Amino acid sequence: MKPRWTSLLLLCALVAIGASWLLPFALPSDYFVSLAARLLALTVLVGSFNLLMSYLGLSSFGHSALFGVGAYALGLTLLSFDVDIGVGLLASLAAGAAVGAAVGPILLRSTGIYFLLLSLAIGQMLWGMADSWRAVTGGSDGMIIYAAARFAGIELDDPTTIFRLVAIVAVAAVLVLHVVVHSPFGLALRGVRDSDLRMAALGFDVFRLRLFAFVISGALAGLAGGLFATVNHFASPDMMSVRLSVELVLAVILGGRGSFWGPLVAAIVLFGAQEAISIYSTIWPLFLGLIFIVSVYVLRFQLLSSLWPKTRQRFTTQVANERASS
Amino acid sequence: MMTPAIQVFNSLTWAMVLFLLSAGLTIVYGQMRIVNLAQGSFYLVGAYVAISLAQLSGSFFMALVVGATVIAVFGIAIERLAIRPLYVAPLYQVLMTYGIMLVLGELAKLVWGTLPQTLAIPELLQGRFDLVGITVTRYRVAVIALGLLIAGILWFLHERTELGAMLRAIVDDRQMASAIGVNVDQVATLSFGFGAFLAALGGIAASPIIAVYPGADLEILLLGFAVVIIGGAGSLKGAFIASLLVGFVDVFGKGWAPELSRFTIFGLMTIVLAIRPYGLFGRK
Amino acid sequence: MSADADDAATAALAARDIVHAFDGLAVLNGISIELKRGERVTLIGPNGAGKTTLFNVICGQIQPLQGQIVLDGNDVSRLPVHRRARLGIGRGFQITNLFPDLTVWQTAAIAMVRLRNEDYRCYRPIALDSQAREEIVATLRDWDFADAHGRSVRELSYGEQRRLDICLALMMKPTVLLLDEPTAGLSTREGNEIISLLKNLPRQLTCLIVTHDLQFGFGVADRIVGMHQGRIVTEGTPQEVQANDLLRAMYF
Repeated sequence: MKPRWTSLLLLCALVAIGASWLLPFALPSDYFVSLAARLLALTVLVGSFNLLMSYLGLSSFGHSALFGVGAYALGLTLLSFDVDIGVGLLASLAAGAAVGAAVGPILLRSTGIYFLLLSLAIGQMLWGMADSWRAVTGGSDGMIIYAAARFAGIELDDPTTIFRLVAIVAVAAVLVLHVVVHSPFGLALRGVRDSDLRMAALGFDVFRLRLFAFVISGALAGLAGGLFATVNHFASPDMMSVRLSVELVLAVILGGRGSFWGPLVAAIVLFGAQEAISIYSTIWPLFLGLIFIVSVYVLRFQLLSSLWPKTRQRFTTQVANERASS
Repeated sequence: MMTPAIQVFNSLTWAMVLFLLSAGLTIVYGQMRIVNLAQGSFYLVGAYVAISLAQLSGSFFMALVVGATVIAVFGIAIERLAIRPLYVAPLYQVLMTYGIMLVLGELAKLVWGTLPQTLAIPELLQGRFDLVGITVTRYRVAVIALGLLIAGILWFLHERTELGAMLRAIVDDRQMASAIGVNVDQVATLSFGFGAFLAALGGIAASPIIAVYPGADLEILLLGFAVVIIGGAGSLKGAFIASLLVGFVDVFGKGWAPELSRFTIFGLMTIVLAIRPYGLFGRK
Repeated sequence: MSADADDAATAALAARDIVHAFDGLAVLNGISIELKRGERVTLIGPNGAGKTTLFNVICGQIQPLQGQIVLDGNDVSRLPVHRRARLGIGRGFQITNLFPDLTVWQTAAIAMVRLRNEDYRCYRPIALDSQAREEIVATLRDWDFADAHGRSVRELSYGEQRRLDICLALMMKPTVLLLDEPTAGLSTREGNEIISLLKNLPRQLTCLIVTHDLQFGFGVADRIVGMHQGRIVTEGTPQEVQANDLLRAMYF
């Protein structure tokens, strides 16, 4: 079975890359090609977030910060050194992982409302850094990455070439996510999601498992940021906004919490819609808000439970246990 | 002249504004176990509404009272229509309030524009005087007084009345409270409306000092969250003390190193959570 | 002293002078309990006696205000839950703490992951490892879950969940097993299933079982310990305890 499974996966990956190779020919203009590339980057971002939300049960409201960190990392690398964009993307990956590793130990010790608020606060703190640290990040004006980019000798000077590079990396990232999710580690994560108490009683180091996942998620989010910056030649604090963080949550919910592919599809739809509406008006937030409100109404019969009932249940269980014996 | 004494005074003022906003946040969380992301919007829209009312009527106090009341009613309506009917997990209710925040933010931009606006200080509260050796503005003293008054009222209601006992029972054990006859739904609605009232009050009180502009809802909300985390979710006492802490750290932080102001708040949060994972007075 | 005498002398599990309180309410009042290797001890007592709290202290979920937990001669009082689990403490929970969104097969697979120390292996799913697969299938068959592989834990009956819970704990090959009310809320048939499961436990496995089911408790135990208000009030073999007046007062 092993050969069949891995080759099936690789086949799908090759098909995906082949399709994306052909895609630019089907699109009417360069604008759409860049849009497609941006959407792929955002899809990787949602995928990285989905690892946390669907497989760990952690709804962070500050994930977009890692996206921005990756973008700035790419920019700083390309502006400081004359290197291949591959190095820049590695820097994005490493930066995302590093921030995840730094933030994780603090954030992962809280649960429920504290987790939500703290994740939001940390995200905002990083946003604040990007917004005011003019010397390094260009402040609220953002960072223009005017360095000429190349990959393995190929000049990345037109949207189609950039799109193809982004597509390869994005497919690889999704592949990695898929492998991780279906591995023993992924199973352990789901166990932690469902009952971290039980997992600890079985001998799993819950905190370390969560941290490991958080770092992987951060790395991929950073990579997504690097890809996005590659397309736009630009990094800005807007990439780290609260709104984007919460949009990630929405993408997972719309796509189906607990599903692998659903949120990825939802990402394309949601961010595609955002782009489409933003062309005509600046009140996308209004539409987004309405989507939130309507989605909650419509999806209120969600089958999968969310973080808080479990956390509440666990604490109720603990309290009940404590009270039962007191 | 930003002497430390004046900064202390400004911190107190700011702390009281934060308290008004955070008290509402923490009460709603304690009662309903949801984080109301629209609380910042109530602050924002309350200020805008009061500014319009003041322009129409010429009276600050009328704008203050009517403005806050209008927002309170609005809050009740939102709770009834959008929050209560949904027996969904708290996460989704939070997202609902986020949607409301986005919608209100955009509508406010459409109605009131994007330029920062302030409310005019009424003659009664204009001017300065000397207090313990420093020159303070009458208005800021009034804001501090308002904050302390509300804190006092809340303390009294919470600790010494039957209503307070009901609120405390619900925080302890919602199901049990319901079982012994407390109308938890009604209390929830009133709490939400009251929270909106307080937020609006805070926004209106702050608007002569700090201009109102699109994005202020998120800014104040984040500070409110810092207060709730540090003070402990659901604890009014915690909200009061944490408001003072955050108020001081924010004002002094901005004074020393404006770029690092968010860091200082975050640093404070991290330190508190390291010692008390549920905030100073939080539990569970 | 011969090695055997040493062996017999070292308690498999010892809790010494445990003191704990919640919100000022004393729950455990300097309680001490020792289990020899292979001993089956039933812990009985009215609600509020502190039995589950004692369990939580032994497992490491709660840090007591005072006291020590010693496992096979090693002081584990400062160790976190998962460390103690790896040293051999296994636990069945009173309020079922399984994985609602996973299947029976996946539940057993998780235990397998831990047994093989593959917590961080993020490539190659378990399903591809034929040896692991066979072990999981065999284990599930032994526990009578042969046709329930694909069923999600959420769908299982309460009795099936309890059975899975205990089996999960057993799968980790613990040296000390703590069971909290294993037969509570079960029908007679389901309860008998659990009882026969427990009767077939390896002899060297030390067990501490909390139960209100006196018939079950007396049937399976080498020693009965009665708790009340955080203290041990009676102790002895089933026969001795049955004759004890205090116990009768507690229950009859």
